[in-house]
Amino acid sequence: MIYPCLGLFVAGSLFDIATGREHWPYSPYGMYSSVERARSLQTLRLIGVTRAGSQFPLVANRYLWPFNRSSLRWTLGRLNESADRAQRLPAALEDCLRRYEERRRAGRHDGPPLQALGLYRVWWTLDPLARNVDRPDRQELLMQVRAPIGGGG
Amino acid sequence: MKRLRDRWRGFWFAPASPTDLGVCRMLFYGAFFLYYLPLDDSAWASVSQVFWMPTTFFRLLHLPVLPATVLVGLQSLWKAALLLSCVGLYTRLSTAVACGLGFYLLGLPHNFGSVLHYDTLVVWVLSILALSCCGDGWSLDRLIAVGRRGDAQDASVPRRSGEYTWPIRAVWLVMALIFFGAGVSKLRYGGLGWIFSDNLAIVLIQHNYRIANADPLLPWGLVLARHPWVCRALAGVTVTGEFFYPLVLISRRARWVLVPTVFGMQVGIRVLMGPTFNQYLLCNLFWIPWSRLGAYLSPMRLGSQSAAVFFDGGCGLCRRTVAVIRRLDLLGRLEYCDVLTGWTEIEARFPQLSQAQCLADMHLVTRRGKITVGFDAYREIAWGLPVGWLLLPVLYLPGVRPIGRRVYAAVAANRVGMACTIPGSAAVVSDDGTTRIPSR
Repeated sequence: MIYPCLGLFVAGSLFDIATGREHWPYSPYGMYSSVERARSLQTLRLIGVTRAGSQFPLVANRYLWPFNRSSLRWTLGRLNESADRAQRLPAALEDCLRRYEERRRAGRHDGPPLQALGLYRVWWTLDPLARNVDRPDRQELLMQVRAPIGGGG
Repeated sequence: MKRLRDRWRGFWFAPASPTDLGVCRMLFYGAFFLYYLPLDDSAWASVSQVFWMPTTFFRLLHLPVLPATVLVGLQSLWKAALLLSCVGLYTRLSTAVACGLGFYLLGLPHNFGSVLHYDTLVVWVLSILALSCCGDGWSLDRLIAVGRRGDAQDASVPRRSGEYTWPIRAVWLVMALIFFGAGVSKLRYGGLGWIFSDNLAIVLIQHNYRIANADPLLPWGLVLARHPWVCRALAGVTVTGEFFYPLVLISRRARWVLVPTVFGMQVGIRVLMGPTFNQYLLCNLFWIPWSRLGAYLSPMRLGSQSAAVFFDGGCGLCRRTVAVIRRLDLLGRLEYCDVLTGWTEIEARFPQLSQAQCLADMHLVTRRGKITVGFDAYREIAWGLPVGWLLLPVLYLPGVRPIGRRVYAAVAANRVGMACTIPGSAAVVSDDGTTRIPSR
């Protein structure tokens, strides 16, 4: 009884390790396995537009819980590269904006009301002291959604 | 070949007492009950279906996102199962429920586009413990069984079996494969460049740009990144520790080196980079030889037996009570004296005691010769039991002592009637309601 169970676990684990494929809770545990060679950073970031028109990066986990900024980045990355990007990405961003506003109105975060939410690709040249963390070198808008008129509050 | 086979069987099934597995069960479920107490998966029910990208097993098993109210109920049930598994009550059922619900509730967040690995080990350990006899030691199930049997003498003798060995070894195997997988992935996709380039220095700086699920606890990663050779050394230690982690399964020396190394690496990731591996850190409790640690912290080191408890060995209730106390006496601080069968020796050592009084009420004599009786004796016993320390503040509250004495008196009066129903009870109830000791 025990040997077959252990065999199942070992076989599944070795399969995922060998193929590099993911079958949660089996996994090849490939996090951080690539080699970073350039002193730069490119990532996806959700940036809101406040009613005053200024940009507001949604970097705190509390804004879009139960997503956290890391998992959401991966998820939006997958949606951005999916074949049906044009349908799914705006729907995902609308859900994020709705979630942000609902949580704001419920007092679960202190972010400003947003009139729009955009997914950006953001580039930094790495500073040894990370002094430019709030000032990316460049950002490219991938998709933006606007809050429904009369929404927020 | 035979030697190899014996070694293999010895690794998995060397007879062991239930202590190590029982303590691991208690700490594992207790730690994760507290860790997941704030967990609330119900918000996933409100996430748009556009994010739904089920993992293989969720897809194969057609597991959906359940409505928020159902998720709240399942979470409550799961946390109750974790708590019951911790204390070892209905252990078979509670560990099975904790495993089944754990798979769903812990797996659910990975169906929304990003598959993370921080809780895979927990799922595997839940599965292993659900299949094991982890409730045979350090559990309320065991205490209840001992109490029912009322066998004060045999209660302290642990049964040894290979059934208590393989689950711990299985957890080791899971950890070994996980870290081996991480090591292989780094070498496969990064090669030696993962170690000998500026990779780690760059990654340390990148993680100060708010990309992980949590920010670094300290900005020391930026300091380390300024020293390329330190980063390369750390990268080398990381890959070596992960790739060779399976050696811990066959070498005790490797265990002493690699387990703390990888533990330190995961602490370092949290401190310097942000990502949290608390679940993995907690599971390291399966590496600790708890019974050996207990022997090391034996009464010799914590102080010798502090008191002697005198009980009526002919009373079923007293025998059951002492059997339970004996199981809880983890530090061996108490000596148990059956007034019925061992009076000659007791009388010689404790001339100040009377057999009739000791048969009427539980007595306790401290090392300094102080005698306490009834409720006060129980209060004194609480000082010697680690579990009893939790009760001490309550036992010394104003007003508790008179209430306790009354409760004790009521129970003591009833025990006479209960004595006859206990198999093996030597006492005989007289017509006048008193316990009579059979002549020897």
